[in-house]
Amino acid sequence: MSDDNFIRLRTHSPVGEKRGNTSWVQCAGCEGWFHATEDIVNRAVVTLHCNHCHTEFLPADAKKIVLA
Amino acid sequence: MSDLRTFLNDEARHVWRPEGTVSLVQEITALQQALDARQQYPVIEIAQPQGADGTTNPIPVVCNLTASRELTARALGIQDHRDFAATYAQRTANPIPPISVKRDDAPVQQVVFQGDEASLLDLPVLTQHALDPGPYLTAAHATTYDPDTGVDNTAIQRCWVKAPRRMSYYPYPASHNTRNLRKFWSKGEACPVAFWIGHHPKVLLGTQAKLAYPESHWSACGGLLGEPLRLVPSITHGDKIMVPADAEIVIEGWAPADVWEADGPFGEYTGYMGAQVAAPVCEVTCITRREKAIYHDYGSGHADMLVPDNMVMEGKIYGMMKPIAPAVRRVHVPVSGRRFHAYVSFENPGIGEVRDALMAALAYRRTKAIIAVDDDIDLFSDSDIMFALATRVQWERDVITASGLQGSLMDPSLARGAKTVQKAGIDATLAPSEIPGAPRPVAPRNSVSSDALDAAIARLTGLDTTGWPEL
Repeated sequence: MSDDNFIRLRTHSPVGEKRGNTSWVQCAGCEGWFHATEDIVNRAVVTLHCNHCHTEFLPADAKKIVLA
Repeated sequence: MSDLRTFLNDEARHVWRPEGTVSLVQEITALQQALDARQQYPVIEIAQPQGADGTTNPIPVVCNLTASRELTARALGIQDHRDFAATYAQRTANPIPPISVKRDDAPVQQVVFQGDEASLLDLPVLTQHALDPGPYLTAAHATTYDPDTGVDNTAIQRCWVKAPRRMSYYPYPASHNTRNLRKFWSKGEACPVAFWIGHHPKVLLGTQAKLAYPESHWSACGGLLGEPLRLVPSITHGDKIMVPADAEIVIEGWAPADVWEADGPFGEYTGYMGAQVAAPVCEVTCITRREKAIYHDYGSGHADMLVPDNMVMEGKIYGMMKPIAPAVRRVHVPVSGRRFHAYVSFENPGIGEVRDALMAALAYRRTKAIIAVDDDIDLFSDSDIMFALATRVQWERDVITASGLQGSLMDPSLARGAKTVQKAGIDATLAPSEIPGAPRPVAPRNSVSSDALDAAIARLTGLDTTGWPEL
């Protein structure tokens, strides 16, 4: 996966600003999105499973990953 | 002896048996959702559950077993569900050790499938929610043990059935089952595990008692049963892992060391989908069951699962607060707050007593906000709680907040990257009396006489109010 397809949302937020805490993965097969923990993405070797089309793929092969 | 069947017999008039087939894929859960919306909570028994492939599974499904507070309390012999907290705390504090029975006296081992004969796909496992990736066991009680002491632990764990003899399961990272797993894995060994399904609510609630580590749940179950829980050695692990002899189904296996697989997203108790996580897997060695087994499912995120879990929390909170604050009367963990909120009533608390109690219970990992009220407030009415918050709280004075505490990482409001939560204790009681014999220095509530109220109720009783405007 290229760096363009890996996005890390800002970890710092000004006091009082509400920002979400959920990380999303875009499926390499159907391009549907599902949410996953940063932990499973960072493990790199655990195969992710798309709950839409059931394609299995490593994080490196995801279409896009947005980590919160 | 108490088991799932004795409970179903005792509550036979509260069991709803829909006719015909009902799909295991979302349709049973949809029935629960529709009933939750109507605030009706019969036990549901599906005689003809239909699999995703259209075939009817011969094993019936029971759900909503503990969706009703009234039924759940009555299962423990408690006539008024509002008194659950004190009774649960008292009984689990007086444990009764289990007894071991032989296999021929263990209904759960009437039928034994080992090796390739064992198949998870033969069980009527539900796919509850639209975004779940597949079928999940939701009432599987995972029993493991601490290899250092041999003491067992039991907890409900979601299990994603992936193949005939393989499933992932998700012990919460801070749980005692995770501690046991890691102890085996640190030695490079697979973790032995057995998952059992289906028993009397007394046993189900006993397994949810919040205990120290390592401490077995079997004796807490005995405390609730009022007699020893009957256990039998598992086929695979022998007396290292005992399982309830009167359960319906047992799945035995091993969690191989350092093997992780994706698990989820899964519809969780929060009402939101829990994220996909890395989870251990269970390689199944054996499935045992009764000859005519009944499969128990908890509707995740529905009253079915929230009610028993929350009622157990009530017992825990009562047990933490009462020694510190004798004025504590009742506890309610409302379904509306998922597992995050607790309401506690106090009877004439002394100055400082409420805040002491709030501080004690905030340490409990599961709580997020605890609201203390006087005993004129109905703990089982969210509207009454709102009334207390509106009229008895000055935020800066009456709210205790504490950050950096352990809590649920599934809380959707958690700060980005946070591993701990912020909690609040809210003192929504009226100011206490300062002079003995004198009224509390607060305004009295509006009221009408009880005679006038009784007359008004009598006048309305039996009246056809169809079509009258609602609030």
